[in-house]
Amino acid sequence: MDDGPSMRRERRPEAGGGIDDLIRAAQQGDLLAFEQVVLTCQRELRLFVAARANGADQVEEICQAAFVVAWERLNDYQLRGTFVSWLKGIAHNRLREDFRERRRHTGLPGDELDQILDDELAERLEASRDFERDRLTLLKHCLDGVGERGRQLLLRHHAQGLPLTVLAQQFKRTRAAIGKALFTLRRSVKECMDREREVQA
Amino acid sequence: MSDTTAAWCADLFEGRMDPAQREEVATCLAADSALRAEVVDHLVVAQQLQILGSEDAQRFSAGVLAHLSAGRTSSRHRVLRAVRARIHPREQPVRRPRSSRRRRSASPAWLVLIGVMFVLGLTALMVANPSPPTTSELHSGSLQLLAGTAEVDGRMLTAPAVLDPQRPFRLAGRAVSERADLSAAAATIHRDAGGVWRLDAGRVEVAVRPMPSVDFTLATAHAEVRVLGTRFTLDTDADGSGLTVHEGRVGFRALASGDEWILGAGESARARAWSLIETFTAPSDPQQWHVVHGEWLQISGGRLVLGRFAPRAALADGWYGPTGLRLQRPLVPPLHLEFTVEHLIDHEDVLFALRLLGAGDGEEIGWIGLRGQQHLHCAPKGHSEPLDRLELPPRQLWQVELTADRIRIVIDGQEVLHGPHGFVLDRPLQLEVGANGKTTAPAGPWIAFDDFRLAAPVVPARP
Repeated sequence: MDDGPSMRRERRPEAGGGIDDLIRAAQQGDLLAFEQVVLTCQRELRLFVAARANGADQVEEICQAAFVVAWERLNDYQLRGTFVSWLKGIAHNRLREDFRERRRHTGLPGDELDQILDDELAERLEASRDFERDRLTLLKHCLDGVGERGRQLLLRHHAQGLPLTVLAQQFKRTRAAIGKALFTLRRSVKECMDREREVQA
Repeated sequence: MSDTTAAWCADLFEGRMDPAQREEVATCLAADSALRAEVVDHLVVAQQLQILGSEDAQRFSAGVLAHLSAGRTSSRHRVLRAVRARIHPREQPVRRPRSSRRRRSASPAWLVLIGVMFVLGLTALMVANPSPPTTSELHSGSLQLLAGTAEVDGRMLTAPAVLDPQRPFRLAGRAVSERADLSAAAATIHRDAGGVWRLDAGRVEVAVRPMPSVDFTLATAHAEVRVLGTRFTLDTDADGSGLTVHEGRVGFRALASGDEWILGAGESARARAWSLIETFTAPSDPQQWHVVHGEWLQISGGRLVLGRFAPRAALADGWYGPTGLRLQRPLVPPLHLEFTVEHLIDHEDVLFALRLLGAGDGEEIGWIGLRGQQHLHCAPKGHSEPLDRLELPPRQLWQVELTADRIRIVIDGQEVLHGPHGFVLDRPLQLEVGANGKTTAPAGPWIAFDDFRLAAPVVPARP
């Protein structure tokens, strides 16, 4: 399989001198260079935050804030090829603050579920500062592991946003059955990622 | 329990849970840590898959740069300060020192002087820009900003934050009160002394929770909307105010005439400053839209022409324009356009009609109509917003950067040869136009497109 475990050895965005060259230019105030940095690193960062945040809105806000803060503090970054990790550190701290802030502003009816999910995610966030997990290649590898049909189902629902009713028509199954299948597939992906991390460790 | 959990996850990720169901799920999760962990595991995987499938790097990047640009232009580093303030709420806005070396060599006298100036500057800043309301200052009827940004007294707040609805705020995101959910791209809203919510400008989508004992009224300069438990969209500009009801029933009263209509789901109405309410229902099926002859857009290998016709006359009995614009591959260099918006029409599956004027003498170049889908984004003046939520005041010159799928169309004046009828590009592109979704060959001879006409608004008999 093309995207197998070997892909985990692929060149990371920060591994080469390219990203640091861009950062060096950005440190001189070159906004276009910083735009390239954003384009290069955004997916890795968003994936990192998506594994820790509660909802797409929070993911977007945290990632945008992380890049804004990074731009502000760009001169603090030393050109050691660790920009993405540095960026993840900013996002990690920002996320912690955000969870605290959200807790202060809860109290509206119907918020209990969000609060419970927030608490669970915040607890996990405190427990781990491993910025190397949740890499893109790992997710791709595990996604391939569920087979083409499962992969299509997961991507159509979560990536393309197709509702379950539409998927039920496409796959000629009931909505409940599609929901159950997705549940099983997500669990498979999660277990695969856990396994791979253990192997890495 | 697995089937139940699967059903919960399905409903949760699709946003189909009602408050009662959310409460029930919350109770179960609170009591069972393993179950809670499992649901969060699924949430995390779902979110990661969403990121994996997203191909909106350009949009994301534009959003980041919009923050940076906004901070560097109007009020200095305003957005950055807002972001920093959220990270370090007690930290005052301080400029980054130019270098640590200079800081070390500064003399004590300079430090004292800088300190005094800093305090004075902060005082002036606080007088000019009082702090946004905090939770403790608010009372019942407060508004919580759940997503996006809101501008209060010239200061940007990013979610989550609490707004004082008595003070006008410009909403670009989603907010919730005890009674209603508000979503807007750029709408100015406040709640007046009588407790009536007022939409001063822009377009807002409102979902009101049923509460029979309490009236909910949303007003503009032209009309009042009396809500009977529903979901609707209201927009207003200098010309008038438009309402589209998505669910339930809404009372719509024109202030100029005193006319009031009760609108149901799928119905729209518009109140103008000088006339009675006009109501209409657009056919949801595009096949019902009458196709008429026209030469609206033309393209050959590398050349896009925006044709000319008489839009004012045409608008008297319908709306014209293609329904979509899709580029086949990135344009390098990008397409540059500059245009003035004459009308921005949105309804149901959404048609946007933009009148294109030349940047030089303001001569009308053509019209562009787009179906407002999420994959189309627009970034006027440093804000990145989906086109279907975009608000462009008419008769002002705009420079707009459009993003279609992964394609950027940057609008400016340099890379395009302006002609009286259109623009010249250097790359082929593919257009999806017309009610039937016709597409053109990316290259080849000139191809004329059919535009379409939406049936004229129908004014129903008065009740």
